[in-house]
Parts: sequence; C-alpha cells; structure tokens
Amino acid sequence: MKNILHILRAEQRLSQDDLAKLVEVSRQTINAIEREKYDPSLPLALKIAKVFKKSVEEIFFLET
Amino acid sequence: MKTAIKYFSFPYKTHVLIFSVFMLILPVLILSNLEISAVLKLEASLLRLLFLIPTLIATIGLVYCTIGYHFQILRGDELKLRIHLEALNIAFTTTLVFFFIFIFLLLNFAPDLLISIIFISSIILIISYLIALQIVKVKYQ
Repeated sequence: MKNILHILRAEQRLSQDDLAKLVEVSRQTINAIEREKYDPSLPLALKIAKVFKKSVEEIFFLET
Repeated sequence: MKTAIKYFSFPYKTHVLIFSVFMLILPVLILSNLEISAVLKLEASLLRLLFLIPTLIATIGLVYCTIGYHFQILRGDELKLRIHLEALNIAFTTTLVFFFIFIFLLLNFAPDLLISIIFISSIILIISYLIALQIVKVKYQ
C-alpha cells in the first residue's frame, strides 16, 4: 500500500517523533509506514487521517 | 476481575524475573556449597522443602512476568506487536517441525530420551523466537 505520509508531515513541519506522539505509537512505526514496509491498522490510519484533517483514502491508497 | 487485569500495569517485571531466575538456581547453589555427607544427613522432608519453596516462589514470579509481558505487548506499539506475532509464528512452526523430527528420531533410536522432548522443544522455541525476532525486525526497518 502506498501513502503520502512523508509529504503531509513535511507540509505540517512535523517530525516522525511528533507524529508518533500525536497518534500514540513509536517513531519506528511511523518510519515503517512512511517507507511502506508496514501497513497500519485501521484505527491507526484513522488517527493519522484525523491529525492531517484528511480522509484515510487520501493518505493511503493501493498501487495502480 | 477482567477489568482489573486489563488496567493493572504489572510493575517491577524485570526485577521479579531476575529474582525468579535466582530462586530457580538457589537450591543448586545451596547444595553445591554443602558437603555430600551433610546433604545425605539432611532429612528428606527438609530437602524437599529446600526445593519446594524457592521453585514455588520462582514459578509465581515467572507466571507474573509472563502475564505482565503479554499485556505490555498487547497495550504497546502496534508494530512491536506485529513483530512479536510474526516471530512467534516462525518460532512455533520451527518448534513443531523439530518436535516431529525429534519424536521420530527418539522413538526409533533412543526411546529412553523421549522424556526430555519437552525440554528440547522449549530450548528450540526460545532460540528460534530470538532468531526470528531479529529477522522480522530487519524486515520492518
């Protein structure tokens, strides 16, 4: 699954650590999601979407 | 009860773990420091208590740590839970494969060692879990 998390994070000037604290996970989890090594759970995807005030499908999408 | 366990933080797990391991080896330490003649002079009931009390304390401690670490992983970071579950899956499969191989080997060539299969399986499970943990961690880095 692809995502634009690093772009959104850069736009908001948030570090991986800041975002990790906001969504209550470790920095390693955010790093793994950004590198597309790990697909987040639905609750985590919803939390991330809430932080960036976007819908889940705007941030996470399948490869076409 | 379920809610109480759900919110209990299981403090001092590492201390309890170290203490439990010490309690497990305590009878061996005591006996190794005694002369054989002194050990033979000990009453059977006293000797039994020498093993029973420390191992009972160790068992309670290890059960506490096991449940504590279980809830720590469940409540913790989801990537760590995923890594733990994948490592556990690999370790369990590896142990089962070795379990069946050892049953075949021991049953046919050394039936008297069949009793030790649980001990062998536990060692394989722990080692394979630790190796699998490192492999899975690399996958998510």
